[in-house]
Amino acid sequence: MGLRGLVRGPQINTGGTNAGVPSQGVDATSWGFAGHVCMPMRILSDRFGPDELVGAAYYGEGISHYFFGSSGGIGAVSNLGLPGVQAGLALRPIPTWGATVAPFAFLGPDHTTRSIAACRHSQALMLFRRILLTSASIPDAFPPVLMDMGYEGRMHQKMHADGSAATQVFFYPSALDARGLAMPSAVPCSRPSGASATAGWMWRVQMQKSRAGHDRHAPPFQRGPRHQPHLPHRAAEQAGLLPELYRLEFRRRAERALRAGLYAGAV
Amino acid sequence: MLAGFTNSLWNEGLFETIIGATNLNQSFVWQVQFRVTGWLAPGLTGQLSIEASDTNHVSADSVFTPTSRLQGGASPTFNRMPDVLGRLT
Repeated sequence: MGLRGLVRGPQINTGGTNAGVPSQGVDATSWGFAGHVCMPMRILSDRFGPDELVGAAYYGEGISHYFFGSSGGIGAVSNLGLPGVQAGLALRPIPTWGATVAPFAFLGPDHTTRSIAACRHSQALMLFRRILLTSASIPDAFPPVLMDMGYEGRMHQKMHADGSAATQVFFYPSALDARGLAMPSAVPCSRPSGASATAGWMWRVQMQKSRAGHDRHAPPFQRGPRHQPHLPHRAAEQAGLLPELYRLEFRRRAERALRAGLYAGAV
Repeated sequence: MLAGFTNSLWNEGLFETIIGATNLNQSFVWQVQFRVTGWLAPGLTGQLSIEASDTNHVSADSVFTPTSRLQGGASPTFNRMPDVLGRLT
């Protein structure tokens, strides 16, 4: 449901013009209001599913400017120029009204996304951004996106990954000297001896994103032995060479650029 | 908050979204405006804007806008105030 209203102030002032009448000013006040309601068509029959019946109406005086797409857009009428009119100029806003009823069929995602863009809800822009991020959350390249959703009166979160994912896979920069980390069952992931400072920093960033992506309520990543996750020993043994480090750096920069681009483009 | 030349707060957007065709409620007005949006309550958004609108009137001489000419001189048509618009959704 939505309500709209407006007030305008048209004026005629013949001072300094060639109107041929004494200098005078005439004010008028224009106003208008409009509203729309959406009724779930499921009330009539379950066969309509999520479809809605939308009704809208407006009434106003002197607001035709706002309906230029469907009218001549003339807002007021004046007696200026009529024979004998000298000191008694008048300006009268023109009444206008209209109503529309239309079924709103949820035909597909195209209609849905356009509806989000048009609904003007304060959270619509943020929702649209998250949908774009969701559609770009390529597994391994970008973190999954959590979407808030309501179901049976309770709020839930749904994890989306583009193209879906069968299982969670953990990647780490193979430039780390995994052999130096080797332990019988697991190894801490703090910056190991032999790894550059850059590699250690990137490792921490990747782990922070991974934790945030899997558990929204997880405490923020903290430095220190207690909070450092562990690497499986077998995975650590498969450490590669420097090119993979470059790949991770490229991925990090690409993700940052993509996010910045999406945000700027959606504003 | 919003300041600039963009869709009027009056523009419905709803029906254009639904059917994508000219209809009775359709509005395409873009104009310079200053808009404030606030979350008034859960599920209720309020918006208020002041907009620099065009105006006109029709008379025996012609249809006049602020930029038209009357007998070779200035137009007598003015806006004495910006349009004030509000919206609750």
